[in-house]
Parts: sequence; structure tokens; C-alpha cells
Amino acid sequence: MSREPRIHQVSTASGQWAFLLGKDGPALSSPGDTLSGWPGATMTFSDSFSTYGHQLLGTQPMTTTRSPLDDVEAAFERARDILTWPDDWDGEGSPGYAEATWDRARDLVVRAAHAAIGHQVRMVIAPHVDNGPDGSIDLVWELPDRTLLVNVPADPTRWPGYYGDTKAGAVVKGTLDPAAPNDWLLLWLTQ
Amino acid sequence: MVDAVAPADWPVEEIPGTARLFVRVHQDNWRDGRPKEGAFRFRGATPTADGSLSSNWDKYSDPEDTRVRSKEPHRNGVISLNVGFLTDELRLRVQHSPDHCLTRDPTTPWVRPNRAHTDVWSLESPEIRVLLRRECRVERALDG
Repeated sequence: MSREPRIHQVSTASGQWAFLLGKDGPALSSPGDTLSGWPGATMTFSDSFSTYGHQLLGTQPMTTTRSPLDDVEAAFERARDILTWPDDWDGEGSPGYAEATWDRARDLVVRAAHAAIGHQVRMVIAPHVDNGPDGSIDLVWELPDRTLLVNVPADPTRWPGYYGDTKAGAVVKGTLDPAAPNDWLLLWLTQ
Repeated sequence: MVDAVAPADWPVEEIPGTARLFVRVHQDNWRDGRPKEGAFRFRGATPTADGSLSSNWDKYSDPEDTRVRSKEPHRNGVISLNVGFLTDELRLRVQHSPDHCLTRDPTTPWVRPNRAHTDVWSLESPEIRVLLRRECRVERALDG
């Protein structure tokens, strides 16, 4: 059974964190690197894709003890509790939450975060990872001057919808291609 | 509330913009003392098809009546929404839909006739849910 692509964070011999999108298995980060997690992997790399089909999303020096994604990962870990809720958890007939939806929500944020880190974003603001309507997951950023909601539907064929506004009156809304980096969302939060 | 009109005779009425609608909010749908965006569940809604949010018109209901109609009242709070905001600002459709509930089922005692019942119709929209969280009024917070 084939697995959905996931984002992997691996250390490289040149002292970097590499973030790779792909299925489990050997992966490469950049030409000349040896991944500590997969010693012996062949060094073939071109156009940001390894020979095993992993896409390089970005790299980051391992100079800090705290990853810019720590808060994001912690937010998603806290939200794993909703995966245990049964159908009709609210007494109003709401369905439970699937791990696949949680995975898509996490991957959307992590992918955007790694792309944003490439734009010199030092720390990624973690969202509230909330139970949304009908098995969907809501990602909410509430900042003093702006709010952003991204809704990840339970139906994997539907693209996430989003809405954001600022106290100054600017509005962004639409749908997100989950295969795109979508780093502009996180950059918009820091403007 | 005592009602002189038999449930079978409850008419559908026009709801004025000054009215308020009460909505139950389960304990897992609160964040920082306000309902989460996910509390506004329009049943059956998609990005292209309307779904309905169940509420109770304040002409025939109140926060406590709304709360005790749930299966687990102690796990619910109640918020309210202004009808004029829904119809004029958000362009949503508000429809009085009294629940005559003429067949009684002893296994579901919380289901009983409800003259206040009102549907709010909307697409599934992150925008609508953000604005509803922002504009709603908390009428009855969670117990404890």
C-alpha cells in the first residue's frame, strides 16, 4: 500500500537541517551531502528532486537549539487529542476527526513554514489547531492587528479555504492549492 | 415558556432585524471565552451549497431554554446573534422554521416541539465563521 508523501526533517553531514517532501525511504538533501539518518544513500541530485522522488523544500543551519517550527509542532501535537473524539462528540451529530485530515493540515503549515524560512522568517507563528465543522480542521492565527483562518476539509479532494483580515481593513480570502508552498500566508502574518 | 397555540398551528413568521437568535455551543467549541470558529456549523454546507445553522428566536426562547434542549446541557454554553447583522451585513438568509415535532420519541427526550426554531443559511465559508465569532454575544458561559 503506497503512503502519502510526508515532510521529513533530517540532518545532513554539512551541518544543516534539510526538509524533504516524499514517501519514506532514502532521501538526499543537496549535492555532496550525506544524510545522517540514511547513511550510504547515493548522492544523486538534480533540480531539487532526489533520485528517490523527494523534493527539497529548504535547508536551515543547525546552529540553534530551538527550531523555528517547535511551536508549530507543539500546537499540532496538542491537537492530536481531537483524533480520539468519537462521532457525535458534541451531541449534535458532528463527525469525528481523521488522522489524514490532521496530516494534511500539518503538512500545509510545515510546508509553508519551510518556504517562509527561506525568506528569512526566523520564527514561525503557531496557529490554534482547532476542531472545525464536519470533520474539518481549522488553523487560526489571532494576532493583535490581524486574524487568519485556514479550513482544511475532511474531504481530501477539496482545497483548503482561507480568510484573513486586518484592523486596517485589508482582506485576503480564497482557496489554497495544497501542493503549493503557500508561504505567503505566513509572510502576510508578519507584515 | 407557556404557549397558548398548539404546536401543529405554529405559523412561520417574519423575524425582524432587531431580534436575536440563540445558539448552543458545546464545551469543546470554546477558545479564550469565545466560541471557536468551528462552533458555527452550517449542516450540509459546502463552498457552493448552503447549509443551515440551528438557532432559537428570542421571541419564543431564552438562553436557558436553548441550553437545556441539548443532550448534555451542562456541557453547553449559549451565544446570540443579531438578525440584522446576519441578513444585512453578511447577506445570510434567516428563516423561522418552528419544529412541530408531533411524533414523540421517548428515547430522545431532548427533542420536543420548538416554536423558536430558526435556520440560518450559509455556504461553508471561513469568512462567515470568523465574522460570526467576532460579532456574537456570549449569553451564557460554560458552567464552572
